[in-house]
Amino acid sequence: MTRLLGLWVYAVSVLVPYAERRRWREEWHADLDDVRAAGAGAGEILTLALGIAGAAFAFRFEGMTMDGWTKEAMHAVRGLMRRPAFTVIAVVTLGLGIGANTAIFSVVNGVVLEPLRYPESESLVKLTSSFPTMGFTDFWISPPEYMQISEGTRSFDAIGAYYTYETSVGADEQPERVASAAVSWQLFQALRVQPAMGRFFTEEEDRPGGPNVAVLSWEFWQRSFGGDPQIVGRSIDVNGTTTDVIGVMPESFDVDESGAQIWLPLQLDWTNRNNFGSHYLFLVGRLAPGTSMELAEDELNAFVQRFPEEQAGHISPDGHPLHMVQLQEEIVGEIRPALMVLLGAVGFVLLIACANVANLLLARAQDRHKEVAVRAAMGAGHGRLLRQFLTEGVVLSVAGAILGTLLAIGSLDLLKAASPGDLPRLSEVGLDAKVLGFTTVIALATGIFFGLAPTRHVATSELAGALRDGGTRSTSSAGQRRLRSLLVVSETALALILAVGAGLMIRSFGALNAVEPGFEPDGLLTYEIYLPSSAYPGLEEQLQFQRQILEGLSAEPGVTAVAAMSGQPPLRRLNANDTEFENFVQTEDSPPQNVDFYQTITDGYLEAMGIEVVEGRGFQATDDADAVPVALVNRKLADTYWPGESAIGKRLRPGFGGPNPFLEVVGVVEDVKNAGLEAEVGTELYFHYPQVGANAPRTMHFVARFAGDPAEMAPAVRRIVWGRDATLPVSGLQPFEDVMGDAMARARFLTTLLAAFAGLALLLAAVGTYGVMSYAVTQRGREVGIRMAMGAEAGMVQRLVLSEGLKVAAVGLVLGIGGAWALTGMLESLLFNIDARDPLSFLLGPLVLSAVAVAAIWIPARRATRVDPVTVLREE
Amino acid sequence: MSPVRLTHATALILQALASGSRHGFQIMDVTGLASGTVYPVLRRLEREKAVASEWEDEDAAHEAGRRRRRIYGLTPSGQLLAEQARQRLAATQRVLAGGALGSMGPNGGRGG
Repeated sequence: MTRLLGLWVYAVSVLVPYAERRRWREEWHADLDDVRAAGAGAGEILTLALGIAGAAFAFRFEGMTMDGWTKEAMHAVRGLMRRPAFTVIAVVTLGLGIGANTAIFSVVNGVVLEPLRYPESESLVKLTSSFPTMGFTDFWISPPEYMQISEGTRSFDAIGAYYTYETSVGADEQPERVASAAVSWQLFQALRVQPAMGRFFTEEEDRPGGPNVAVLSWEFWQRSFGGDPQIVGRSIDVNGTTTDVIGVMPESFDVDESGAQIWLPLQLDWTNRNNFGSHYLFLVGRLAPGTSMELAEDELNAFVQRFPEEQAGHISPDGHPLHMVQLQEEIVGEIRPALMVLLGAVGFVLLIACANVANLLLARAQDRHKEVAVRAAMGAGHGRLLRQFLTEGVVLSVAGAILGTLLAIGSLDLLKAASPGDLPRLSEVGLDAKVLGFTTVIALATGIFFGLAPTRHVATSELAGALRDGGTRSTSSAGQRRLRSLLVVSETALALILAVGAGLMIRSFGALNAVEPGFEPDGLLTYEIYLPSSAYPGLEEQLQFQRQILEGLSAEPGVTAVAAMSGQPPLRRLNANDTEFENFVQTEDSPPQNVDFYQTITDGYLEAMGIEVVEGRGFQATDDADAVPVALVNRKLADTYWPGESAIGKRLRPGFGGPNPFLEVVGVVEDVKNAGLEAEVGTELYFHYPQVGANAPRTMHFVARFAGDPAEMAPAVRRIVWGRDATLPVSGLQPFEDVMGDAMARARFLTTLLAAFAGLALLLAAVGTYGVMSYAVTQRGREVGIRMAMGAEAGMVQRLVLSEGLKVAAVGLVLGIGGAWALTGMLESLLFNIDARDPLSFLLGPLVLSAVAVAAIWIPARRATRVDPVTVLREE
Repeated sequence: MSPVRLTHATALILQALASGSRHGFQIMDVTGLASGTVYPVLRRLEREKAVASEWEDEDAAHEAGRRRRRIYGLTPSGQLLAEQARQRLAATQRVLAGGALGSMGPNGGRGG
């Protein structure tokens, strides 16, 4: 901050007449220090800093009235209109830079910077637990733990608990599957959000056996109930149970990005403190007034220390600690690095755009040498000329900002549409005042910068030379050439950094794409059905339904295999189940007896999904309820618990010492990605549907392998399901390829954007290099003409121009490689299986850039040889 | 001495100096004027010799752990100007308080 302000004062004081410059600079530094020492906020400091710039302007252009400025601006507009090509290129370049920046900044602002939309959201925290020895982080909390935390701490005003799941909701017609949350009544007390209509649950309603009541989201109410004004008090059907709607939450309200459309009371039994092992709650709390994060953390730690330890799996400092993080950090912390990288990338694009426009203005200033010289000779002072350039720069950048804002509005919608589903707070993203302010500051800063850049060339000493030359030619001085070369060097370097960054992301995306999921997703169709307990109370009914659906699917023409399963790869919620391994000797180094994923399947599953059996066999129809209970394990589980020996014949069972029988392992299957494509495979234990008894998962995923395009089968699927039971919603009906695509959505989003920015940067850098080179060729037309008149061959002249351009580009490339080497480390966390210093990216990036640079230099260089010596020399 | 334009901002700043404000930030703080207004006015007043400025003692600033400030003060002609400014501001205040209208009433004086 201090350095930034220092830089600002330094930059704007350039406007102050030289004799007074040092004095004001020091005075402004002192005043900025004073205002900060007085404890002013960012707003006040910004006001002072902007005021200082205003004062500097006032010093420079003393006596200019508003009228005078308007005239000056009109003059600048007329001047720009006379050079449409120049103006269009400059405005479009700026517009692209500003537009991309505004759009990305809007996303960063809405997602990361803006506080969450709850009253005093900074005092909201999320509580989670972990099991460090088992590697479970961000883990749930069990009901008794929640109760003890609520009762045993004083740092919180209120702590609410919730978990999310899916429910079938429908009043009369076809029910639909919606994201829902079971929440404790304290949650809304903690969030301090009032329903838009009706009320929230009371403490009395949030008890076991309490009434069936629900609160709807605004969006759900609008979408599925047509915004019925009489909704409060109406009865709807939730999972087959008649439920009274008691309230509607305000628009775009959400709890911790769960996307829940309906909230139902959690109805915990506060007298039951025994189910320590069932972790399924997340907690959101509000810090009591005057309690800092540190204080609350200290209290929580002390609470963990003194937690009773008589039960296994209990909260303890080492085995099962609690964690507290600000809710905002919890929601946006993970996506922040990716967004910051994007922000940095568009920042580079803007810098390149600025360099390009500055270059254009420099060239233009050179062309107008004579005009400037004449005006100077007629008595226009240095300040007058400076003002002219400054106005022109500001007019250009304002036009660029307007175009940029329009582009930003357009691309923001595009960004929102293309963004991965897991980008949090997307509904809060929009162009707001802060974003527009940001654009304006960029526009003005670039305006001042562009305005001042050419004025270096109107120092009066050079003007005399221009007049002497009679204005027929104007050779640029070594200093001017150096400045332009510097701009090309920086453009090249910045573009290269982006190119390498984009290359890394593309390589990483390629690596992600190449991940073997362990099954064959192409040609598969998938969908999900939830069987409510009202209509399907037991395993018998569920299996009958399942069988009918599978038979119906198999009978469809083109279908080669069908199956059902409880969890859909490749991205499942970890279910971390305690599992007893028979005769397993637990030591310090042995893995905990806990399996990451349970999966219940039909006997056709392995075949339909294309999963290989490594050892033993898959499930068979004969493995039914009366047969010996059997299980399959994945390779990872076999290697983890029985390294170096066969898993076949080993026995294990869910839970410890409970009523469950031991299951005999009859097969080891190839690992299937279950924790996400980029994550390590977790251990997985397969059960056979007919053998799971009362524990059958009520959510079933069906897959069908189809010879044609799986999407064509969708109508048949609905017909089959609704032919059996018209009240069941069919959700997630899509080709499995799309599921795989969703698992890579974030990587694709990032890669596409970075590649687009790199492409834009490359284009702008090419335009800039081309512009500078063509200008240099034109400028040196006389020299070339003389050389050719003296007998130099075209090839030689061409080589001369080429080598000069390439030298500049080479410096840019070297600097760019260095910059990329230093900066790509920031991408580390976003890369998958690719080193941040990946040699291929560091090779290809410079190659592409070299090719672009050579093309941009080659074309003007060729033109140089077509110079007609006679014409050039006659102009003398 | 060239005539000084006595704008409202100028009057306020003169008043602030007359009542003891000594440097830029303090003047902004007291008058509520923006920096973009205060600095140009100070610069103009200084050029018109109504205000003089000098750097504060380096050692004193160093001791206080901050940069040295530019200290402004009124010259004798500035004090005259400040008095004009005070009258002008007082008149403004009277208008705002509604007193000016009252004094023009048929009975003259206040509360007539």
